[in-house]
Amino acid sequence: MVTTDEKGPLTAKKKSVIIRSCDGDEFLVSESAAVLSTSLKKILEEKEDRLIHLSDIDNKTLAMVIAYLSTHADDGLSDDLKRSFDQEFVSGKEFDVLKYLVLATDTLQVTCLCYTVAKKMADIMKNKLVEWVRREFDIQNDYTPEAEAEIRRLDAWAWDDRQLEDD
Amino acid sequence: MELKTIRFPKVLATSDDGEEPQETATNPQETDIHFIPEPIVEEILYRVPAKTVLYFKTVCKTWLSIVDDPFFAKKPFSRAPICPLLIFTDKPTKRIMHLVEGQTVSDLDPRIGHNLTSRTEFLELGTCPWSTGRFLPVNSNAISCEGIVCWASNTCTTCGGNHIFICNPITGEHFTFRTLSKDQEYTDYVFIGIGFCRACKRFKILRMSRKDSTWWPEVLTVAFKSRWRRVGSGTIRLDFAQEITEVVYVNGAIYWRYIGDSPIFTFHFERFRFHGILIERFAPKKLISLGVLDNSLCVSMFSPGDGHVELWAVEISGDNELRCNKLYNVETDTTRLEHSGVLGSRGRYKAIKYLECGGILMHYWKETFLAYDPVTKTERIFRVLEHSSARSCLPLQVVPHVPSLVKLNDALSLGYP
Repeated sequence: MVTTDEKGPLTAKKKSVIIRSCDGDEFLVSESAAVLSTSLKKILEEKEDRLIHLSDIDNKTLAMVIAYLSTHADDGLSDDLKRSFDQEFVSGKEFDVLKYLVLATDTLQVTCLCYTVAKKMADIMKNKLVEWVRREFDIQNDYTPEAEAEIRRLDAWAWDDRQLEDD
Repeated sequence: MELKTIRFPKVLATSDDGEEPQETATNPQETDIHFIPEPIVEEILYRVPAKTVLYFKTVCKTWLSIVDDPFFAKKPFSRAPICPLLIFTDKPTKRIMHLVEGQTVSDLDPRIGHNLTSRTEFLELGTCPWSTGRFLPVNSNAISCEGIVCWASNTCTTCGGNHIFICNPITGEHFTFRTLSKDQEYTDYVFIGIGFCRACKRFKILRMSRKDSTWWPEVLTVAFKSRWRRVGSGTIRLDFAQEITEVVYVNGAIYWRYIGDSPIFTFHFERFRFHGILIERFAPKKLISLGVLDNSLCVSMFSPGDGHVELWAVEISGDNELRCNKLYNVETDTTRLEHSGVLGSRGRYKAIKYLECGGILMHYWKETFLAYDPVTKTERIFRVLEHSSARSCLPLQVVPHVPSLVKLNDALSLGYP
């Protein structure tokens, strides 16, 4: 056991932070996990705040990010285990969930999670139609039909025998 | 207790100032929490296959500008680091290429998965304006290096020049240039290799031309006003009596073999040295093919008496020392059938890459590939092209290729002729 008056790296590790989602739920996170996020690390360096409010991350997403951070902060786990956790973490998740996750990693600046999620999103997108992508990313087609046809003509080979999904 | 608040930067930007570009103005959804900022879109696009990236250019103008950015183009696709590129030679001047992208068997096998194969064609006709239509034989082995594919094109009997064909199969960009060295006017056989020199950050072309049974190895650094320089100290036997086969570029060097001969030869583009690799294990009776695995040369060896295939990692270190490591013993139903004579020994077992699940993708025969799992010792054989029966009779080369959207001009820093 580490006593409270002892000052050293061990006590620092024991410290924890409260993170509040936009729905008002609070999560208790160890500082070693929180500092894996560059944004949280900066805040903790600036002030000794123990409560951080994230006004743009909802409950569900925050819980997932914190589970990720805690796993990666655990020194007892091997890199292999962490890698397989990453695979498990994104597998089977809906595209919508991944979108919220990738936005949260952007806000919190958790680069490695951002890459993992981006890869999963890319995996889902590889066989999708342009229309599907526009819908999922809330993008409006800003091409004229002629301009779109011209781009398609230039890369004609990319359109060969594509079997695409629109679900 | 004081509250610290972090908000999405994009939401702040759109609500605070009105000087956003027109995309925002026309897209009210962009203020929505669903909006994915450009840097993230970029990260995602790095991870989709090259074929999909080109297709997604039509999503919107912002996506087009991301894909067309030279910085984006220079970054190879991290999702599919190396892909097999199938190059069929139709007529002497026509090449049909199929790039097969994917990191899992289900990506690659058209029977179960999605087709991530893209096809492109190159015609070399009209490369020489003085051509009378007669061409001398060249070694037209294609070689892929950093997203660029290159081969020796026709040697024209009229002008005596060699033509080098350079292309990026993903963008379809290509050009041909004609070269003539000072020392010789006429060659009867030419071999071309391309490599990337990390020290000078330039592509280099190795040309080995033969005239009256004498070999002339020369290197050209691809740059403005550069010249061919003779290389080769004569320390190794450059007895290229036979035809060159199986050329592969790995990590700064090219490797090749001669038909019917087992030693492997290599030229390193940074060290400017030739090497001959002769290992006792590479007994003459063994069939050898050269492939790539984990950024080093992977030699597959198979001899009719073995019943298994050995994969070796071969490397020449900076101090010219040869390092060989046996990686795997591939022992499957197919190798046993070939051993027992039930199947003709046609397998080449040319290593291409590791798959996502840990298996090894190897080129087996024609359009047929083999995915071997060294842990479970199981194999899976599949054809990557479904409707190419018409092409089965054409000569085929399988080249490990890193798909890239790089523009030839940017890559080679060379004006078009």
